[in-house]
Amino acid sequence: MKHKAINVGLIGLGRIGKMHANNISQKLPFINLKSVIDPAPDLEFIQNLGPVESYINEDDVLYDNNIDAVIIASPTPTHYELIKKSIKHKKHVFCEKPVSFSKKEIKEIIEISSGCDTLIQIGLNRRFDQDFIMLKDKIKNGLVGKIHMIHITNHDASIPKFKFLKSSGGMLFDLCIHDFDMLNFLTAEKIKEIYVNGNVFIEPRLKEIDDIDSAIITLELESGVLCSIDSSRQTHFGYDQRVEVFGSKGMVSVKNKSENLSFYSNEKHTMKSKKQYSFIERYQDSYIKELEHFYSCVSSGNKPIAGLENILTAIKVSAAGEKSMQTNNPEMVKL
Amino acid sequence: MSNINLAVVGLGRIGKIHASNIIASKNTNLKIIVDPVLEDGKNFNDFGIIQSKNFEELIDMNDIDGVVICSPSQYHVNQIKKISQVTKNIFCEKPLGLSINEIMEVKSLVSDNSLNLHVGFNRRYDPDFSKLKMDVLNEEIGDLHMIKITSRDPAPPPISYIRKSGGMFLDMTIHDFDMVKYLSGSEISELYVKGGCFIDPEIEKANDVDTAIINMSLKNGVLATINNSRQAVYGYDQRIEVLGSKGILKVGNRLLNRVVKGTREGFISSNPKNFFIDRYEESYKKEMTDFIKSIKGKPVDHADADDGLHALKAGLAANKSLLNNAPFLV
Repeated sequence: MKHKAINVGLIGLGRIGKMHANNISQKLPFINLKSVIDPAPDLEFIQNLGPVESYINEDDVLYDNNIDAVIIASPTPTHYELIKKSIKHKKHVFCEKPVSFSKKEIKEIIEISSGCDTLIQIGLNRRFDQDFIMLKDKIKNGLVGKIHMIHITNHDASIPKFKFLKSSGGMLFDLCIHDFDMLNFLTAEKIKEIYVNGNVFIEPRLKEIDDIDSAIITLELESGVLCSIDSSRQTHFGYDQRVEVFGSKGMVSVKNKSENLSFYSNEKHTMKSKKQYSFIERYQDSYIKELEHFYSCVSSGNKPIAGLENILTAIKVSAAGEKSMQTNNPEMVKL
Repeated sequence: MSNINLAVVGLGRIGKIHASNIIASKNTNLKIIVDPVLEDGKNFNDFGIIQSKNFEELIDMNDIDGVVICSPSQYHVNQIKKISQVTKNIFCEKPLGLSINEIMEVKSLVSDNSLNLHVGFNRRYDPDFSKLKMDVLNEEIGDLHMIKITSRDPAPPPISYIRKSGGMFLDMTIHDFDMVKYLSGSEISELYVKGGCFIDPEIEKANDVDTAIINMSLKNGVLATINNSRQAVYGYDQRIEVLGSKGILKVGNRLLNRVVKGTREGFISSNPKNFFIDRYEESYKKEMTDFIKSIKGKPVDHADADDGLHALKAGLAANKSLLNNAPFLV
């Protein structure tokens, strides 16, 4: 069945907003980027996108009857209001994670949206990564037998600017939220308990705002599966993104992708390239796949596989993790 | 210098390894093997070694330069006490003792008799881990941030062994606790353990776990994690990663062989070496060579009673943490 293209407005042209804009204009022919909104628009960038309307106020998208859906890539504190407004204006929504740092706000949005036809997808892009989908299939097909342990390694290549870190909601809401969702994605189970052991090694100013840049996290799933996440803001050698699932019949894992495949050997040693450096490189395909999925849900009315319930599940773990850091004790995740 | 005369106490699995390595060492005699059963004594019949079922026979000898203790853990401290009358040079398998009091007793024996006591944390002598430690010391990756250890056995030991082992943390994880100290040069200050029984319900009945994740803070602020399993069906899984301000250092598994097969189905390579005797073969040789060197008066780095105490304290804290589901100070 052939669907007609949809018109979208993109709110927020930061790093991830620009990436979505490029993906839509270059790789997603059935999504038409009609408008972009940014309070301080990068005009050169917008010009290169082709025929796109540029505004500084979101109302120019929300009141535009020709727009079917909005993509929200503005800073997190704006998400809650923007989603509510979009629902009011009957626009479908694709919103970047984590949507909100407040469980209450997300629950409220779930409530409002459940009564109407507006479809809401969240940017939990790793659910669309082919390698993790493969991992999940292998688990489902019984390759590891009964799962005993899951280990996730999630390290940024270089630490984001302090200005971003200050508004990010903290490492557990910004970075590790992907890992909490990954555990849920791979096992279809929820996390029961979390213990966070964190420290500041990389950016001393994080201490002033009670944030961390390195952590080892211990978790238990509902069924008793034991999990660990190790995470930090800066490796220098690339984006370290690995998952290992260990069970009664064996182990399945996903390793890192190298920046390039060349090797160099000399009289002293052999060298190969760094790992792919940024999330935009490593998860390139997943960002396209998630918008393809969004398009297909908008066209068919199907429910997205990365929805508000999923982000709520993950946010609850982040919140329990914050509490664990304060109490230095394991904390139950409130369901 | 004349030949060095050594004794081995306990001829179990690890005793046989040490005995063979001593026999293969130059200018060294394995003078006597003591074991109450001597089940595998016949393997050593051809080397002119005294084989005795009576420990006291060793104590009565006057030409022993060093003793290697490989008896079950509960005998270690008493034997060290008696042997300290025979020689100052004692090598003792891990764990040094099963209680803090026992090891404190050993510590005072060491200082009262100026003993040269080596503790058998053999992984310190593994060439890969030694290089890892050197690279850390040389600040190849800058300041240390995180240590991650994967340590999984291929199969659980017999349930009779588990019942006497003092539990997984004192028996198995104790090596990993020591590795954390060895690599970081710092002791564990606090740990939180999550463990369970996934492999054999008999292990649970013996009040032990077969799977665990340990989350640690070190005194110097470094974060560390260990994951253990009594059964990795694909073999002995022994990996370490160390992260620092400038990058990462990693040691992967030693494989059974290096053949890789690629076909339409994909690529296949062999699994890790089967168990500790194969994987850590070189380390057992090196630790014995170093013990012999130290007898000759050469200074060598080695694990001592303080290291034994640190690892035991960590193991005991792990037991408490598991029981209470809370972090515990070591």
